[in-house]
Amino acid sequence: MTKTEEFSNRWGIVLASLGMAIGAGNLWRFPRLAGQYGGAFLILWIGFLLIWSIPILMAEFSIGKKFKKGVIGSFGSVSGKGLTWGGFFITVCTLGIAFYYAVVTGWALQYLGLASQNLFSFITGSKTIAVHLAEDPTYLETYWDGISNGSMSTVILYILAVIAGIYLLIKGIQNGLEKANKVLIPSLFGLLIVITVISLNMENGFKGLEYMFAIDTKHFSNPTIWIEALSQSAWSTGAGWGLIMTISSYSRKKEDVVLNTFISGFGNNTASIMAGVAILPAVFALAANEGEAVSFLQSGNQALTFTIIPKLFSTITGGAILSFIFFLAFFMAAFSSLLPMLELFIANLKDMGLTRKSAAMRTAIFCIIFGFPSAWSLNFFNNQDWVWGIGLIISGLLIIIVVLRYGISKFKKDFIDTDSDLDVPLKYFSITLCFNVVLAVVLIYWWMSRGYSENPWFDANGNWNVFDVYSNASVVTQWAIALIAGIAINKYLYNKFVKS
Amino acid sequence: MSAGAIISMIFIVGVVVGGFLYFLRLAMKNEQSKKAD
Repeated sequence: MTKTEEFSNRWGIVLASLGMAIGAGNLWRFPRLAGQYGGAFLILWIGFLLIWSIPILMAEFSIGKKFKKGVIGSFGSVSGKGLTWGGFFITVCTLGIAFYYAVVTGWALQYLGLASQNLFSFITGSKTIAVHLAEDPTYLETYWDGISNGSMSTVILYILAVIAGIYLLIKGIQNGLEKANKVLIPSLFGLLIVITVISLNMENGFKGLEYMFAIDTKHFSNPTIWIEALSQSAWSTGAGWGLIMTISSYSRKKEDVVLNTFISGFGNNTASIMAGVAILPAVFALAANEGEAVSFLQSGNQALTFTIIPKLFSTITGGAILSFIFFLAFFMAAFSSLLPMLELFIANLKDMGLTRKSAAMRTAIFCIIFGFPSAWSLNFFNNQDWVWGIGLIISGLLIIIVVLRYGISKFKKDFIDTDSDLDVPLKYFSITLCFNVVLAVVLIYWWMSRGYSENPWFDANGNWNVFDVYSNASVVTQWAIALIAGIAINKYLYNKFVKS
Repeated sequence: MSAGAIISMIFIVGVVVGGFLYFLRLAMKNEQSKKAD
């Protein structure tokens, strides 16, 4: 089925691509890594934008634009009958992320509520977070423990986030996604600028910049930094997720593939740099000493965002305002990325012959049901983050494989060069794609050998350790279910999504 | 801030933000010329 919906102009698709790419990861993972590893990490991260992310995004964008179908249909159209299951795996992988990402958006709403309440208390002179912390130093840790496990308010808020996203997407591409991003993305950049100005004006704020930008050459010999830079670029830009493929399926007939991809990639990295420049000076200025600031950065995404940052902001005059702005920006980033994840499923359902409204309603029900375990249990959330986060590398690899099968030179000529004002050298496209096959294998091996689980394959009793949060057995089992299911229904997928 | 960190900052911010603004400007220019055609 050919789509008739499309973005009204170039800026519609540019903002949608930026909204897709700029998400929670820009605010809670990037500053953490940039502060720990400094300029060496940043240089590698820029390198991997050009090596991994841009070529895959370009391939995805051009496939979506050419076939104007959902991920399964577009992927199957270029891969042919034998590999249509690849589109199914990409869809399952991104849906797996969407289910728990809705929970992240729900948490963002929860903390936006807390920050609003704190701001109101600050204005009216009642009990602020700072007062709570003076009475009980573990106030924010207790608050986080309360909402991350068995919390009805988290369940209600993630459902609310899904419903809000679906409400917008039911309105269509121009009236829903495009209009939402016109508000979300400029506002997000504006809020980051405000936090940056405030942070840099704090005493010792510039120490954060020193940690972020100073290049320690000995870091280059540490493989961890290479892998962290690659995975940050891969996850943050959305390369291999199928999201840009979905967005570009709504592009106008003559949309520029190369230029739009570069804007999306560099725009995402710009937002990350802004988030780093906004958050790191505040962390270094407000921590008791540099050692404590570094230990904060090593505490993990959830701890940094939901306990440390609000705690640090509560120690300064006007911190209530800063906290409110930060969580508003965090919510906007998370929500702008949730929208294309929901749209990915809607587009696939539309290819099955459903109307947008009907597809959107089914997507909402699906997300609410399958998102519930992550909303209820932090262990389940972490397991899904682990399984499908690494699964994205497989998705990226599948996209590379279809390009290699089609023929790199022919693919570039047929898919990318048509309507692109900016020409990328064939050598760049072919070398990076071939190199990425090696990178993908190294990345998957590295993540799975990190030893997060004590029993990565079998438990103490010798049983397949499938129910462990970070076990390789859990990762491989869930991937295998998605792959086997896709291969089993491959013929159906081809007939339904490609042939029809 | 040390001189090294300042130079590194100028280089990194220049490449990333400068690249973003360059591609954005190029897109605006192309869009305007397409409209004029």
